[in-house]
Amino acid sequence: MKQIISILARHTASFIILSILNSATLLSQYSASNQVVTLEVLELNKVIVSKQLLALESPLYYQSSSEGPVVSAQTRLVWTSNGEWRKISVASKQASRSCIVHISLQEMNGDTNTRHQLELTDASTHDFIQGLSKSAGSCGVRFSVIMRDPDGEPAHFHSVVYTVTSS
Amino acid sequence: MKQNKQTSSNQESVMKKSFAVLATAVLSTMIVETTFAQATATQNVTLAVNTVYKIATSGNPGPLTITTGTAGVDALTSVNDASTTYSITQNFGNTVKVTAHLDAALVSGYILDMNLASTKGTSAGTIDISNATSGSAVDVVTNIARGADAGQIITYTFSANASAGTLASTTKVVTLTLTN
Repeated sequence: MKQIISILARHTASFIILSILNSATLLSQYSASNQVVTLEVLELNKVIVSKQLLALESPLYYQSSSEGPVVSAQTRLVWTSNGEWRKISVASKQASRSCIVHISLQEMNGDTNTRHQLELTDASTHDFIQGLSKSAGSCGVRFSVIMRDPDGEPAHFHSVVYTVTSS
Repeated sequence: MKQNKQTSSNQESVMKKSFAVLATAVLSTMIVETTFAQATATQNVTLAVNTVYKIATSGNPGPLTITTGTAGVDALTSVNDASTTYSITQNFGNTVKVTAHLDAALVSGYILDMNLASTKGTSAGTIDISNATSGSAVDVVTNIARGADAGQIITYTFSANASAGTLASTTKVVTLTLTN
């Protein structure tokens, strides 16, 4: 009888151990496969203006005065840069001697150092917004024209160019 | 004399017939004995099918490079790749799943999503795996039924914010695991 009990006990123990091992094996079973993904973000600088054509038409009564603000118009400058320490410079091509174009910044949205007002009298490039660093932002740009010579050329075009460059 | 000859001939004919019958009987007995003498043997064949889990991918996706964006928007234009596939075979059950994780988490501001198509299971859709590491793998396909599912498309989408800055070419290892 003792022998039978001993055999039964041994078999029961073996069964339990096998069951545990089997369960553990089932739980740990898996298969894996790897893929290598290459990621890169290039430097990106984008700048646009909301209105690309601004008409600055002077009223007749101002044309008779020797000098004075004639008219103003506003556009919005919007930018995105993921570079560090970038700036937006501005230059006027075809600047006329008969008038002075003033640009002033308004409603600045973004963490930057700005030059709030500047004059475009020639084709030289001026720093306008500095300290762009990994950000997106916008601001209003107001153009004012002061006539220097009311008898000068009646109409001309200013081509204003905004450029993002490194500071 | 003539009668004797005829009797002898008849006896010979009878003997021949008897011999033929006897020979036939012996041969038949031998054949029957041979048939009954065939031995049989049995073998026990032990059959088993172990649990099988297999997953494989078709290769690596192409470089995911962000090159453009929109002025005034912090989120740059994302890029994606759907050039690779995965295949699975499993006979475990209907609760098997595929998980995904990276060898190391991505820096904040960069997002890597992945989407695994599935016909045998339920795709979890587009899942962010940017912060999924070996200890925090995310389910990408669940409830996979027994059988095989071959050539299912893997889609990666890489996004970044301008405020995160540029990222020099970086490789990440994505591990897909078929498990229960």
